[in-house]
Amino acid sequence: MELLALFFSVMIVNNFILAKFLGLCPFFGVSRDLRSAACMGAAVTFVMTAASAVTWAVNDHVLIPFGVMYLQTIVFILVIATLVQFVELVIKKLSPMLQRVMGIYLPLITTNCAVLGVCLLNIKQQMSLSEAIVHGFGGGLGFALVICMMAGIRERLEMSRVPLAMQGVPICFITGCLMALTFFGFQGLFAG
Amino acid sequence: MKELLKLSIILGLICCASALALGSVYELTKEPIARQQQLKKQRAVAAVFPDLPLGGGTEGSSMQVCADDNAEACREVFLLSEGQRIRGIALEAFADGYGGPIDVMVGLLPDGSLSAISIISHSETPGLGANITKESFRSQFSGLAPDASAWDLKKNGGTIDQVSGATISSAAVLQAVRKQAVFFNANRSRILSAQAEAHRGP
Amino acid sequence: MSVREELLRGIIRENPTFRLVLGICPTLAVTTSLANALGMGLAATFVLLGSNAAISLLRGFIPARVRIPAFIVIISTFVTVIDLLMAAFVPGLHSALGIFIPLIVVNCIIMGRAEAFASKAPVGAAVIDALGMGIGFTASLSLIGSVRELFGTGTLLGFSVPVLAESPVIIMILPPGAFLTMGLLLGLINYISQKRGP
Repeated sequence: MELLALFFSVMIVNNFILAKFLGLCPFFGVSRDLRSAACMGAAVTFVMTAASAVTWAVNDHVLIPFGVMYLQTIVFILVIATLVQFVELVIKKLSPMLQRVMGIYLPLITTNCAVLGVCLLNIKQQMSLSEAIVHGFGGGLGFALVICMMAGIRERLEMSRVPLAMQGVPICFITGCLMALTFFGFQGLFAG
Repeated sequence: MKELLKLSIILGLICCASALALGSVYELTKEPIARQQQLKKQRAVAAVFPDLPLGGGTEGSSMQVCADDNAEACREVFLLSEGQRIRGIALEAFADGYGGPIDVMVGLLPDGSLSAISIISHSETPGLGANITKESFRSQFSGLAPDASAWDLKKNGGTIDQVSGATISSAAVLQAVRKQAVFFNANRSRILSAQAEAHRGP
Repeated sequence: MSVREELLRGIIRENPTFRLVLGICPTLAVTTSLANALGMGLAATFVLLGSNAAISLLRGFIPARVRIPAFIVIISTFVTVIDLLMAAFVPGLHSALGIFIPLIVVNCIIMGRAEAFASKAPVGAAVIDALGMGIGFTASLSLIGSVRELFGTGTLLGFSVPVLAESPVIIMILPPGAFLTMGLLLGLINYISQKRGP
């Protein structure tokens, strides 16, 4: 029950993009069309879930026993980079379809702050392994949801008249503002 | 093969250099960081006993207290004492707030009534939940009578006005405070008598 | 290119925040006050200076095939150093910036400068480039931070400002306000540069 609350809380109320400002580069960079946004969302969800589990284990079984918590940042980013490479290899071998979907987005994910962010937050908020995995998965789904919504809105924006100075990125930020306001309406639901 | 070896050696060298640099910076900053954390705790303890300034006969110390039934339920208890007499007991609590853990210091008097609370750190929404740090909310806790089960928010029949728009943050702080008071009441005799063998703290 | 031009490039013409729209996560997340914005900007500048200098010094030594992992290790070393130093000497700022200090590692500006500039340029030029970009980043963050603090809490650097302090607009220091401020400032800058011609 608590895990379910945590899941909805990180997916909607404390959305990574709109409430925590994590993963904004792909949010604006890869939301030009719905298809690529969905692929990016899927890839990020997958990597965030896996990275949460792996970094939690590394922290608990390597960093803490050896008393080298201060190496957290450097170790986590290397673990994520390796994980992404590994996922890329596996996908290449297993499924050409999946590779077409996620292929070009995977390398971008290493420097997506939502992934490193979720790993650091797991440790900072002293989560258990299952909580960390739910946190990563819910956060990833929330990311996918919001990036797809943004892509849908941007496809419409292409056809509307926007003042010259606001065209392109500025209007996307205003759209982001309105989305963040909307998501604020969920405050108070699923406290976790 | 030779190429691969060269690549790994170079990467290994870079990692060694970085580990060396980090290790020495860590050694350098270890003490200041520990000192800062201790200072933060000391300030929080002092803040929950506004009437008992440190120095001038009042001393601070800390000890570990464990509940009987659960060996894992140990916590650090800060004591303020004047000679052999304990004047105040402070416990640190973590509440499940809206945006993450809220770190609260709870100051109790030996009879179990509440001296004051202070918020050490939190990540609540600015302008809403973050108002738990305001004097107007915190001061309502000062001077609550010993019976912790009666401490409650107004909407549940208690005396404490919640922060407007932040039920969850207010309730979380209250819960944490109440839990510490219950812990103290359950272990009161042990805490109060342990003064003699208490570790000399900060 | 002269040193002055080189510096101005990072501050104005290729301003990382308003021109290249890079590294937006910290830009929006920590700019709830001018003090936080300045702290973040200076921390990022320190990392940028260190990583640009180190990578430029090692540019003949790091083989092209492993340059990305090597850059990551170098950058995260500097990030951890500033993280520890801030925890030791400015604990208040350190806890206000929270996980956004370790997240400097994945700030696209730093990786971008390492890859596009420092790995090909001599040390002097790389340091000047880092200084320009760092000042540009700090200045943009401070601008956003001042706007949000002024309207959101009615203060600037903690000092109360008359008129604005009477009815602060809380939404400006909440997440939607960050998006709004950034969007409007970007629009304003576009408008000015379009007025002045390309």
